[in-house]
Amino acid sequence: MNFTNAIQEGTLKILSKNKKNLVFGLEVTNIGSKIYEKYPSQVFETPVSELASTGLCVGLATRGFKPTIVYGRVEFALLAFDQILTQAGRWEYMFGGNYPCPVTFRIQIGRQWGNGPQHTANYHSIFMQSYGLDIYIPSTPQEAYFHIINSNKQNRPAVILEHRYLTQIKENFKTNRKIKIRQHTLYKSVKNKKKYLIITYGDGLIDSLKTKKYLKDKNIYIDIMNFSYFPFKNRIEKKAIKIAQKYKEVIFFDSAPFEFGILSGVSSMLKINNKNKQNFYYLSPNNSPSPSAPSLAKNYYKNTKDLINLVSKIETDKKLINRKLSFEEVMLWPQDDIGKLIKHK
Amino acid sequence: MHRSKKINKKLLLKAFEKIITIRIIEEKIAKKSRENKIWSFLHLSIGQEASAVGVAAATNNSDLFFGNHRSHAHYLAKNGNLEKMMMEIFGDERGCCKGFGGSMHMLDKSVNFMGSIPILGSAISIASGMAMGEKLKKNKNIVVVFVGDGAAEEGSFYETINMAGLYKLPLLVILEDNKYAVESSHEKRKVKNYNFSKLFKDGMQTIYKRVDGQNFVKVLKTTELLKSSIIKENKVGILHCDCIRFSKHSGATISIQDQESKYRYKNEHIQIKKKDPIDILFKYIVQNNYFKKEDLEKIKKKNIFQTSKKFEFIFNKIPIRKI
Repeated sequence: MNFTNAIQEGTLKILSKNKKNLVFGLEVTNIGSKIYEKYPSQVFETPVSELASTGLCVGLATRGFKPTIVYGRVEFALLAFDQILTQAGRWEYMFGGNYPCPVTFRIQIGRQWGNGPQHTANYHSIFMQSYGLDIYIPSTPQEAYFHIINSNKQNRPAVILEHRYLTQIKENFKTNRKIKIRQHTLYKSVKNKKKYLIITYGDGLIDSLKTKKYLKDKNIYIDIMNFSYFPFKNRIEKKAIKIAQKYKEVIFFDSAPFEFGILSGVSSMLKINNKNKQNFYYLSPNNSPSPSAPSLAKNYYKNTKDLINLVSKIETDKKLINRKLSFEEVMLWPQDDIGKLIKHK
Repeated sequence: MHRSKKINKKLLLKAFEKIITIRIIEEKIAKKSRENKIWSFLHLSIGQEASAVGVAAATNNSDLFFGNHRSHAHYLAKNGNLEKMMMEIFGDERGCCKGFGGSMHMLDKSVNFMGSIPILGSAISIASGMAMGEKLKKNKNIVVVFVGDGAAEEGSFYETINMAGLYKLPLLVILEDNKYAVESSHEKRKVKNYNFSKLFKDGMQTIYKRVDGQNFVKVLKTTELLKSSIIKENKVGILHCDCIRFSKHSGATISIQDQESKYRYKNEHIQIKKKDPIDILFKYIVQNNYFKKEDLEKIKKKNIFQTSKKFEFIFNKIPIRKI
């Protein structure tokens, strides 16, 4: 199933479990909407009023319901930030506890070809810095499915940041098993030399996995640490930092501008109390919005080619790939089977 | 008809005592604040007690209330716990929000006062969600939300009125219009001839009523009418109360200097003297022969004495940190 189907299946699952699980959003009741066809009394079309409809969900959450509200772009969710950050995130705290507000905000975020400066922003770090919200950033269809299930099980507000770029990636997985939610996943090479580590999250995983696969054929072994769950009390677990501190060459691969972003935080945590000498490399877009025209946008995001060339330059002082990537390779949605990439040994 | 129905004597007396209680408590809180004994922001309801008490008297205990930054009166009118309110305001961890909220966050779920928040425009949409919860649970309750005329200028306010109408939610909006957003008057903030009635009644299909918010009886009767219409017609209700804020926007100042200051309307200080909700209700009770003037004076004095004593009793339980 692809990323979009996984989100739909996860949503169907939670709607089937409890009538107090509700879904709100624009176009959620359109013809062909499976969730609306199956659970019409639990799915609500909202006016184009992000602030009010988010407030409505906050109010419902305080009264024993578990609403999920969907935003087509993070820029639309910005209109509702008072309710997301100031109300939902601080609700239980400001009222002295014992007053949960378990609302889930599903927010589509990040790159998508041709969408330009106001539809592709990466505001992950705003959520990371805000109090009280569990943050989920799925990188695979499996993670997308289980993040929806898990966020619904918690009695806290949650933000699921869904990278639009990943909508068509595929993965086969079993939905009927219990899964322990992990804050990060370490994708190891067979010959683990603890030399290269790519640290990434969200849509950075797919390029990292392709890089790992490509370089393995050249006898260069890379491990990947992918973050996907940032609980509100302990955004980055110490265990992950300790593991990452063991690698000599650490590459931070981000589809959002690096400065003051999620990986910037991880990078600074790595440097604290670190006795090992590590070299850090950063691959991310410049701190500017993403342009719309393909000729401008193709150089904006970093990709597999940039990752491979960075590693090979460290290793051999030579670039491995000199060819220009096609528009499709750089800009369009990847349709890879991420499951196969993960299983690749 | 509701309007001609004689008001129950007990209800009137209870409301009279409640308005006095709220006034005395807030005056005493203000005094302590001026003595630097409060570790919290302060927005007093002094002068605006009648709308809170009138709405509370017209609604059921099971109806939910949600408030804003100026909600001491709403909380006490709904029978919120006084001791916990005072502890919250005076920065004690035994307060209604365990000291995390402060004076702008009132909460007493045991009496269905579901909270108050100081971000303008936020309260109404949260209250609409609570109203949707009541509807989905098939309860017969309404949700009452108090907003000021400043909050009624937020986009969220208009978004919510439309959305709550669309979903047919049992929501009653009490628009306490004291004419000022902090110290900015209507003229500075609204287009000339801004028409609430046409906007809400004709434009947004709500049941809209406007009353003298200083007058308990008018608020009571109009709220009763609105509540039954909200339930019968499945529409959002708006009660627009014209109120007078006796105090400054924030802090503990209740002074003639403020009431005569330039940001206020001309002669507002005279209106403040004429339109005290306590005096208006006092006159109504006497003129309609519920109590003799002398007896009501005695009741008033007794209430002031008892409330003052209660205040001091609670205050003495709170370890005050000198600021």
